[in-house]
Amino acid sequence: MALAAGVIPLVIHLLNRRQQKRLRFPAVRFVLISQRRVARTYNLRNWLLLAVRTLAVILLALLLAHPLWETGVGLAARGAPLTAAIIVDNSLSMQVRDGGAPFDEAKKAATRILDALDEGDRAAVIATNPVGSTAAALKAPEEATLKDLRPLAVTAGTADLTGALRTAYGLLRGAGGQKSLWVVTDLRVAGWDRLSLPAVGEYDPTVPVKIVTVGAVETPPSATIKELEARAAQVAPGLDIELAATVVNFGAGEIPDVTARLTIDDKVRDEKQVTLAEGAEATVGFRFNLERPGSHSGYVSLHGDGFSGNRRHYFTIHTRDRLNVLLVDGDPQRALVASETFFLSRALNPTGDLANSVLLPEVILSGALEQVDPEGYQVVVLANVPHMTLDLAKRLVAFVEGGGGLLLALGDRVIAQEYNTLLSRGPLAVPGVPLPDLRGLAPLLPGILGERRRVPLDQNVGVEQVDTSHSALAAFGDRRLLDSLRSARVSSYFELVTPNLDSEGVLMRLGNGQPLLVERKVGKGRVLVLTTSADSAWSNLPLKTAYVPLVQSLVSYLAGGSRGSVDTGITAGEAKQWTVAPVHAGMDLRVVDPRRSEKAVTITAADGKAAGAFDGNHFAGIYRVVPPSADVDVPGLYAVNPPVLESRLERMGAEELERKLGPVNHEVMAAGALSAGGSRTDLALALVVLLMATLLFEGWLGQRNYE
Amino acid sequence: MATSEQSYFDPAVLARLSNLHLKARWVVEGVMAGLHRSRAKGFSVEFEQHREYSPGDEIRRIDWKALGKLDRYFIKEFEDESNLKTHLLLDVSGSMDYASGALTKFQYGCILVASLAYLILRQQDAAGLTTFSDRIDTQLPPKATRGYMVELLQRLEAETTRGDTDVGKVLLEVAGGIRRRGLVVLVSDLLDDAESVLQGLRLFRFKGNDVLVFHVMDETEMTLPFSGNTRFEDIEDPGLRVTADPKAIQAEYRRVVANHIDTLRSGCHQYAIDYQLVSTATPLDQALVSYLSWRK
Repeated sequence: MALAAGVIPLVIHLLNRRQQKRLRFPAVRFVLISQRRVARTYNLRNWLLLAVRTLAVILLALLLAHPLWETGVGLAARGAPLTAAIIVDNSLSMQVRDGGAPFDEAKKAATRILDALDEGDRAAVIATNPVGSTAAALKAPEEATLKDLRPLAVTAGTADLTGALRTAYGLLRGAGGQKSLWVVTDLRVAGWDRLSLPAVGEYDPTVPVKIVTVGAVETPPSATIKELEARAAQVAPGLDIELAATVVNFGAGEIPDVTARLTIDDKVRDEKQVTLAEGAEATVGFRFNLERPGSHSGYVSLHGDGFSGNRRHYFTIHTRDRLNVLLVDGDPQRALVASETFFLSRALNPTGDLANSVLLPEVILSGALEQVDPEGYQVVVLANVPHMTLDLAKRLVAFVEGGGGLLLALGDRVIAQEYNTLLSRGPLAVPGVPLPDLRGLAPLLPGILGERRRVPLDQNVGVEQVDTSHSALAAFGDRRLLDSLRSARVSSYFELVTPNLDSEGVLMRLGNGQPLLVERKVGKGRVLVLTTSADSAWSNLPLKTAYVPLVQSLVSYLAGGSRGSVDTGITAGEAKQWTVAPVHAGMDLRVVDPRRSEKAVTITAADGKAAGAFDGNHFAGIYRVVPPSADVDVPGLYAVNPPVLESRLERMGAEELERKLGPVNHEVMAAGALSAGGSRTDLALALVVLLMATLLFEGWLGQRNYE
Repeated sequence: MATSEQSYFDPAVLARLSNLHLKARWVVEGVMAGLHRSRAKGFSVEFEQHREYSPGDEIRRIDWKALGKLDRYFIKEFEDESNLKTHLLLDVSGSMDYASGALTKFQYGCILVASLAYLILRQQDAAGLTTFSDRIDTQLPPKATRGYMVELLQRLEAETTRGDTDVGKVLLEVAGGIRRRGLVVLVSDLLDDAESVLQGLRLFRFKGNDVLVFHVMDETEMTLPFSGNTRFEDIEDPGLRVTADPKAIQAEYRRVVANHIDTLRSGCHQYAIDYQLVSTATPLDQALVSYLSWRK
C-alpha cells in the first residue's frame, strides 16, 4: 500500500508535465539558452526532488500503517508501553476432549502473553462468553492474570467473537503507545462463522490481531443430541411419556455403538444403543412415566469411545397430579347430548380414556350433591344447579377456602336469589324465607346475580374481551384459538351486578360490555363464574374449537396451576422469561444456576403484564427458580443446553478467515509458537524523524531548484 | 482624462487614446509643461511661405510688413537649413508585437517615435522616418515643415508588425543612405545578435552622426515572471519553441538578458552612442527627457 502510494508523486509529476501552458514570446532564444544552461542541473534536481517526494509519501503511508519491527512472535514491547487486549475463547467447544484440553492450553497461552508484558504495560482479558456483569477493563498484567484469567470458565455458549472484538477495540481505542490484540481460540467454525467485522463497529485495522490456536488441528469425530422431543398428550404421574432424542454425527466416519442413556432425577431410567453413520442422524426413543407430581429434571446422555461433542441434553418435566373434577348436572336430560354436563365432560376427557387422562371428570346429578364430599376433588363444577342450600354453601366455602376450585356455570334453572343469599353479601333474600346465619361464611360470588337477559334475535352478542394475560386464559394468546372463542354467540346470560366490580376480576366480557367470566379468590382457592350456560342452550360456545382448551384451562387453573409439560430447555446465552400475574410486579425471583451461583430477577410490570427475564444462562444444566411466594406460578426448574453447532468441530479455513477479517492485519499461530517469545518495536518515532528529515530536504532542494 | 502630471506619460493612459497625433501631443505637452521653456534654436532664414497667425505662434516671427500692407497677421515660414536632421528608425518586426501590459512594444515605439517627431518638428528641426523588420519597409526623408508631422503620423498609423528582426543588416543599409550628418534615433527591441547591432550603429558614428538608441523591452521579457510548465513559442519563428519551467530557469534567463543588455550598453558607450533601455511600463516622459538631455 505504501509502495502504491509512492506512485502518487510520479503521477502528479507526469500530469503536470502534460498540463503545460502555451505562451507566444519574443525572446524565446534567451529562454532556450537559459534552459540549455540549467537543463542538466535542473533535470538532476528534478528527479531527485521526485525521488524525495516519493519517499516522503511512502514514509507517510508507512507511518499511517503503524509498522512494527518484530522478532519472534513479538510478545514483549520495546520503545513504548504496550496495551494488550487478550480475547480468550471460553465457548463450549473449548472443553471438547480432542486428545488434549484446549481450554487449559488457552489459559496457559494467555498467561504466557501476560507474563511477557512489562510493568508499565496494560492488559485486558476478554472472554468471548462473558459471565457476570463486570465489564472487561485494562489492568496491570499481574492483576489481569489473577482476577480475570484464572477464574475464567468454559460456558455452554457459542463464542461471541464480534462482541469480544468490539470490547477489545473499545479498550484499545483510548490507549496510547503500542497496541496488540490476541485471540486465543480453538478456531472452530461455530463461533468464527458468526463473526461479522462490520458488526464490530469501529475497528482499527492497523492493530495487529494475533490468533493463537489451541486444540487439535484435525477435526475429531463428533456426535451430539441435536433435538429432544417429548411425545405425550398429557403429562401426569402414571401416564406414559415418550421422549425422542435425535442424535447427529457431525464428524467424518461412522461412530459405532453409541449408548444413549436417559436419566431422570439422577436415576438411570433407560438406555439404547445406536450406530451413527457419517454425517447421519438417528432418533432414539424412550418411554417412561413418573410416579409423583411436581418438577423433575433429567437428561439424555451419549456414551462411547472415540468421539467428542456435547454429550448431554437436559430437560425438565412439570407435572401435576391427576385432577378429579366433579361435574354437577343441574338439568339432566334423557338425551345425553342435551344434558347440561355433556359438553363439559367431553371437553375434559375428549377420548373417554380415563386411564390415560390427567383430567378425570365425574358427573353427578344435583340431587346427589349432598351425599358427595367435595374434598375428594380438586375442582367442582356446578352446571345450571338450581338450588343453593345453606349446607351446600358452607361445604363449598370450606372447599374453596381449603384450596379447591369452583366453576359456577349458570343456566335457566338457576334461582338467582338463593345464590345471592348464600354465596354473596347481597341483600336479596328470598321473600318469606328467614335469613340464614352467614356469620363466618365468605362470599363465593364475585357479585350479585341480576336479571337473566335474553339477547333479541336480531342482535348478535359475542365474546369480545378476553384477558389473555391471565394465566387461566394464556392459551388464547394463540390467535386462531382466540378467533374461535370470539366467534361464539351468546343468546342468554345473567347480569352480574355489583357497584364495586372492576375490570380486575373480569376475565371475559360480552360484546355489550357485560361480564361473561368473572373470578373471585377465596382463601387458598378460586371461584370462576360463567354468566351463561356451559351447554349449548344459551350459547354456541360448546360448538367452537376454543371450547375444549377453554374448559381444560379453566379447570387446570382452578386446580391451582398449569397443566403438566416436558420442557426441553433453552439454548445457552438465551434469556429465560417468565410471565406472572401483575400483582407480583416488583417481587424478586431467585435463579440458581448449575454451579449453585444465585442471582435475583426482579419482576417488572409493562403493558398490564408482569414479567421477569434472566440472561445469565451461560452454563449447561438445570437451573432452579425460587419464587418469592407460593402463589407466584412459575416452573421450579428449567434446562439450558449448548447450541448444537458447538459440537461441529471443524476449524475455520484460512480462506474463510481471510474473508471474515478482511482488512484487519492478522496472523494465525499455534500456541506452541509463543515459546519463541521475541519483541516488537514501534517504528513510528523513527519514521516520523525520517519523514521530517525528508520533508526538510525536499524543501531545501525545491528552493534550490528555483535559485 | 488624466489629471496628474505623471498620468500624462502612463502607457496605460496613453493606450486609451486612439489618435497617434493626440498621443504624441499629449506626451510632448506634458513634458514641456514640466520643463522651463527653452530657447528656440536653429530655424532657417530661407523663406518658404506665409501662413496666417494663430495663437501660440511666436510674435517675433510675425511679418510686420505684410501686416502693414494687408492689415492681417502672417507668420513667415522658412524651409530647410535647419540645424539638425533626425532619422527616426522604428523596428516593426514581429517580435515588437508583444505586450504583457497595456501597450505592445510596437505601440510604445510608435508613440515614442511620434512624440519625438512632434518634439523635433516643434523645435523646427527636420525629422524623417524609417520603419524596418529584416529589411527597410518605409522611408520618409527628414523635413522640418510642420505639415510634415501629419504625413509622418499617417505613415506610422498605417504601420503593422511583420517579418523577422535583422537590425544589424538594416542599420548598415540605412547608414549607407545618409549623406549628411545628423541624429539617428533607433527604437527597437534589439532581439538580434548584439555584435551585429553594434556594427550597424558604429557605421552611423563613423559617418559623423549622433546616435540615440531606445531599447524597448516588455517587463516580462526582462524578468520572466511566469510559473508552471510552459511551452514558449517564438512570435517571429513558429518553429522555434521550447518547453520549460520558468521558475527553474528564471535566474539564468535574467542573467542571459542582462548580459545581452550589458553588451549593447557597453558597446554603445564605447562609441559614444546614447543607449536608453525603456520598458513598455516606463512612462514615456523619461524617454523624451533623455532625448532633450541629448539635445542640450
